[in-house]
Amino acid sequence: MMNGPLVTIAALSATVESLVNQTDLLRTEARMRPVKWTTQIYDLGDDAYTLREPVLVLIEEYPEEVNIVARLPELELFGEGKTVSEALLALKHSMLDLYDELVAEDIGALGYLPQSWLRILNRLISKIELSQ
Amino acid sequence: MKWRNFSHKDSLKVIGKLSLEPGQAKRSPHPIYWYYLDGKKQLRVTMPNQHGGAGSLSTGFIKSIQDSLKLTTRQLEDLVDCPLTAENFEILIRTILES
Repeated sequence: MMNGPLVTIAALSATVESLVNQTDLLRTEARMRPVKWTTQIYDLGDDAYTLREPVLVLIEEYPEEVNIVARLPELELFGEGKTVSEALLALKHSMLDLYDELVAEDIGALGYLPQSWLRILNRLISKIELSQ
Repeated sequence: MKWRNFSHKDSLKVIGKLSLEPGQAKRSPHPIYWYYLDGKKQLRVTMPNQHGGAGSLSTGFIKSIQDSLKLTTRQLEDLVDCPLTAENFEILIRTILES
C-alpha cells in the first residue's frame, strides 16, 4: 500500500516520457512533410510540340530545402528547380524526353507501365512537323 | 520516414546492382535508366548527375527514385546497403506488376 503512489508516479513519468518522444517524432515528420498544391501547364516550351489539353501538375515544397518539385504522378515524371517556373520547365523537358523515347520504341519492347505512359502521352502531345 | 542520405555514389550502386540500362535524356540534366524484365522496359528511373557530388539528394528527388523503383524507404535503404538483392527486387517487381 505504501508503494502505491510511487508506482503511480513512476508509471506517469514513463507515460510522459513516451509522449514527449512521440511528439518529437511527429514534429520531425511534420517538418519534413511537403506543402502541396496543384497548377496547370498549357504548353511544353518547345515549338515542335503542342499540348492538346491543359495538364494538372502537383507542386511540392519541402520545408528546409531549396528545391521545389513539380510532378506528374501518373507518368512518374518530375522536375526540380529553385522556383516553380524552373521546376515546371524541368518537368516539361522530362515529359518530352519520355515522349520522344517511347514513340521511337517498338511497342513490343515496352512493359505494362511504359505502354500506359505512351497511351497517355499520345493523348496529350502532338508533334508538329515544322517546315524548313 | 526520412532517408538518412542518398548521393550520386548510392545511385551508382543501385544502377550496378539492378543492371539498369541508360535511356534517352536529351533535355533533362539528369540521366535516365531503365529496368528490364523479360526483355522489356519496365521501370524508368531518373538518377542524379555526377555534378551533385557526394552530397545527399533532395527529399523530393529521393522520393522520385523510390517511387520509380516501387520501393518503400526501408526497401530502398536495403537495396543500397545490400540486404535487398537483385533477385529479391525482381520478385518484388514481378509481384507488383502482376497484381
